[in-house]
Amino acid sequence: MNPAIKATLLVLSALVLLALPLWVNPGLLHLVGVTIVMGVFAVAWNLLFGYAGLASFGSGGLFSIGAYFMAVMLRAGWQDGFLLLILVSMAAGGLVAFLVGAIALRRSSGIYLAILTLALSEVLRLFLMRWHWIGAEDGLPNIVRPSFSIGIARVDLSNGHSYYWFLCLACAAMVAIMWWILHSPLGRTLRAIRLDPERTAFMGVNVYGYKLAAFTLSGIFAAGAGALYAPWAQIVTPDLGNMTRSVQPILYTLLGGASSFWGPLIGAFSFSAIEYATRTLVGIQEIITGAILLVIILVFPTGIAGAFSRFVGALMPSEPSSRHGSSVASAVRTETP
Amino acid sequence: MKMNRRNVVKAGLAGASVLAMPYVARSAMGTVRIGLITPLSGGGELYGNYIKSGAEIAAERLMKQGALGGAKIELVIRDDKGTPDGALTAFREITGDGVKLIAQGLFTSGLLATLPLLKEVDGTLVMVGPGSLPVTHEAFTPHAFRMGYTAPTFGGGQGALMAKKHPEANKWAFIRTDLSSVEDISGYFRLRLKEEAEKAGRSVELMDEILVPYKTADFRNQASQIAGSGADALFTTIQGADNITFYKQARGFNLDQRIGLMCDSGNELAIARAMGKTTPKSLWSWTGWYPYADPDNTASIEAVTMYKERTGEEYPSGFFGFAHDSILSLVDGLEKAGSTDSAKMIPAIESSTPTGCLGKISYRPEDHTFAGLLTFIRFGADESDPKGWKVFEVEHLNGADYLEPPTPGKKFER
Amino acid sequence: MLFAIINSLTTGMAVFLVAAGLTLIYGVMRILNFAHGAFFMVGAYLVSSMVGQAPPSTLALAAAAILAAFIVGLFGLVVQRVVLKRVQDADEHYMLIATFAVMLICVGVVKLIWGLEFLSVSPPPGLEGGNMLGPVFVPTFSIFVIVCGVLAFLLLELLLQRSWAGKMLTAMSRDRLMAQLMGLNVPVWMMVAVGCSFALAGLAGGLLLPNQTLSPVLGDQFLLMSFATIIVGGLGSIRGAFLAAILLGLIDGFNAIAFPNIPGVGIYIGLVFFLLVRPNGILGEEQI
Repeated sequence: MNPAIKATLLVLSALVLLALPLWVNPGLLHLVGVTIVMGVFAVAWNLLFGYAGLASFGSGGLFSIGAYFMAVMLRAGWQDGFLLLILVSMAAGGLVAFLVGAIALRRSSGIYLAILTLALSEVLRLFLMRWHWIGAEDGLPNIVRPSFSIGIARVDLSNGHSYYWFLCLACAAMVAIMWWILHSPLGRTLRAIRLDPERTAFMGVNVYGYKLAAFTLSGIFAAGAGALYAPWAQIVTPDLGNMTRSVQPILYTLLGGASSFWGPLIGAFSFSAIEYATRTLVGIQEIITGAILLVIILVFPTGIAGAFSRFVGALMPSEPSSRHGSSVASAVRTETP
Repeated sequence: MKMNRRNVVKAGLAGASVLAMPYVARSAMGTVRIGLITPLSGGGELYGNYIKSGAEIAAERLMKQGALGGAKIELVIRDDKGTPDGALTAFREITGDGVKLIAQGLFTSGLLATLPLLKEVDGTLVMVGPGSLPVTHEAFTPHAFRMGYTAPTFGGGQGALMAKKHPEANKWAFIRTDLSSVEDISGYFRLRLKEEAEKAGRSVELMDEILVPYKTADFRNQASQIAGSGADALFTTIQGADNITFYKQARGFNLDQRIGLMCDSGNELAIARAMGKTTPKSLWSWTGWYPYADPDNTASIEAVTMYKERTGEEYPSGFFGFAHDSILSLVDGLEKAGSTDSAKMIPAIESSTPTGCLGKISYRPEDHTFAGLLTFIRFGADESDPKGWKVFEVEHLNGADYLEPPTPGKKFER
Repeated sequence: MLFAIINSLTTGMAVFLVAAGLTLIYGVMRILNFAHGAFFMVGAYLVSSMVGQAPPSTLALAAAAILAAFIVGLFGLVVQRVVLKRVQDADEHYMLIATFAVMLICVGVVKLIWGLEFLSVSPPPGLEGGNMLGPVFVPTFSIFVIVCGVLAFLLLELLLQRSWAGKMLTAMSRDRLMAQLMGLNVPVWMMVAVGCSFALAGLAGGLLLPNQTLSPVLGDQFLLMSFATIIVGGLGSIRGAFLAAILLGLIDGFNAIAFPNIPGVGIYIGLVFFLLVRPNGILGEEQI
């Protein structure tokens, strides 16, 4: 897609998101906040899937590690170190992902890896459910939105919409870092591994090491999303790590388009929009969600982002395709004739 | 079955169309809007649907009676999907639109998410049916009232009742789902059973609880363990569909023949509705509401009659009653307060004692927990009845006698 | 102890009945079918509508189950035509999501037709009660489930290993392109395999119906267990699934006896353990 169009769209959507609290209903705003976090979570998942070709079904476990860590620390009164806490949560998620990946990636891949990660996150959830110190099934409520100081400036996120704006900025920062990582040599090597692991290995690349790096990075950002989520919802429960939560980034990614960096975010927002629009249609929610998914998979296998780039491409046939996004899209397309 | 099917579809469509109607952003003169937040998809959907029916019928009844000077009572119903996120989205949406009176239930985590927000939106909330302690203890807020019984109340009450009614039962077996939310039910049953028996100069043997995971397909190990234990009484605390699976598989061991006294913590007639004539021959269960418990209670009889006209079914779950009385509480409070301001609503609900499906509605002033009558029913298979089962007897206890002590704002430690 | 073993076998065989169809469709189409549990549930609901709360005889239950298997098999053909066929060449994860979508729709439709209330069907007269097997009391229905499981296994083995049709299917699952070049009508055989897989789900639903309570979440309960089973057994291997079902049943039974305070965790730990020790399953082929 034309980089200029892309930049304009990006700036426009950022502005709309930042201005939302001024005019939308608080319920919708809450949903948007959750969606932003879930979008980042999905981008982190796609870092593993779209770029390294590995599917994890246990990302919800990493999300809840970040969320629980933040919840416990904030409830213990560590507000002042809020920014540091985000980093430590991410480190914790990264560490767990690294340890799991170090063992799992040596032994399994594909569907086996998917089920292995699913089982591990289920074990974590069962553990969280029976631990009274962190609230067992009811979870940890009353998480404060922190106020802290940076140098001499005092930042208070507990009032009005300030936490929403902070959430937007923090998520933008995480997305920017992921974008930068994926467009660095690391990202290019990962894509090479996805397309042809054997040939890449022949070129002297340590395939296992790169996969492990992707697995760890994905864990870092999943936990980061969780850490930002805790003060937004102000409650965390063990269900954050259940299978439904782990499947969500997958749905968002495929709906939006795995071949595009922005796909998962687009998917998350589209999904939430559908959900909000149909919220009063009691009793047929599953059918609606299922039907939409099915149509997307059958009609637009490259997701909304893929369909959109093709649409723009058709409008402007003379425009050369950009380096990013659509080039991966075409790669996937050749892979799936 | 056919009846049931057709009606579910009908009810679903009717619900969809009613909910889809756009509602006016500011409440018009003569219209009172009450929010209802309940699971209409996901885990608690079955109960959420009973809650929805109960609330709708309450609104209809109250309008017919001309409550609030004949104002229109409009329910703003939102699905919380059984998650805190869903509850928060729904809560913020309807309060953002100016709704100040809310009924919400039934999951604790959803309530724990919304209770802290009540003050800033000047709202008054009635919690529909939750049994867990935190919502009136560490998470207590004066803006919320619990229309439901706590685990110590109905679990302990049932223990005491069984000790009084069945002095012949000496050796008790226990089986429960491995969820901490049901720990207290079984725990208080044991406590009060023992206390009451000792008061009467008897000693009872309480065997260790047998734990089963949530969502299990097989209970035969446990059923055989109980059948072989020599126990003459059993208290079952198993959640949802699992509970019926347990009774079904227990039939293979003739558990209801071997164990003289079977008790269930509160799955009440869901068991009989599903099992028909294969229901255990006698089962004591706590029930939030048994519509025919008191033939003189016109509210209860009217509500269940309206439900029957609507769906063709005669035995709605206890959550129907809780939901009905939650709406009644709010409307009655508003009538007395004359304003939806929480400063006026709270004392009005505290001091009023309307009569609803559950009998006289009153909340303990210290922590706003429900202090009404407890109802227990004994039912079982009955060949003579066309349904295949029958309710044999009903017992009441004064719920206030079994309430845990109030500790608003603090965790309650046993 | 003996009882615990028999009971573990019952659990294992119940899961095997569900998992057999799941591993069959994987073997042929390389699809991990999320909707399998949902169609198992449809089979159970269909049978419950046919026989009511109390089936008159074992024969009636079996006949209803076979009829349900046939109907669910037909659904399978529809799903194959409308969905699976179109995504079969896509990335495996896309197929996963496609079947996930089918599952959602299926559950939604079940709710609309049968409602949310719990339904229960009791075992037919011949299968109620139990017998003393030496010192232990064994419910007849347990024996019934074990017999059904073993029969299903033997039948499938016989069909796949010995019959002509089975050989065709095996050939196709090994190398689809080669089979096509050899003149095999792959699309037709594909239909047959998918139809059989769904029919197995429906049959399992009918046979296990008296064992379980019917609710719209019944599918989930069995889906995870059968996933674990076919993964541990090795994807696509009926024999592996059979062994794994017994093994996981035993682990679960051992868990209930040795660690009664943490029920239900054993399965997951066993699953993780097996995946790490035998990453491709007990009888799985090497992954390429």
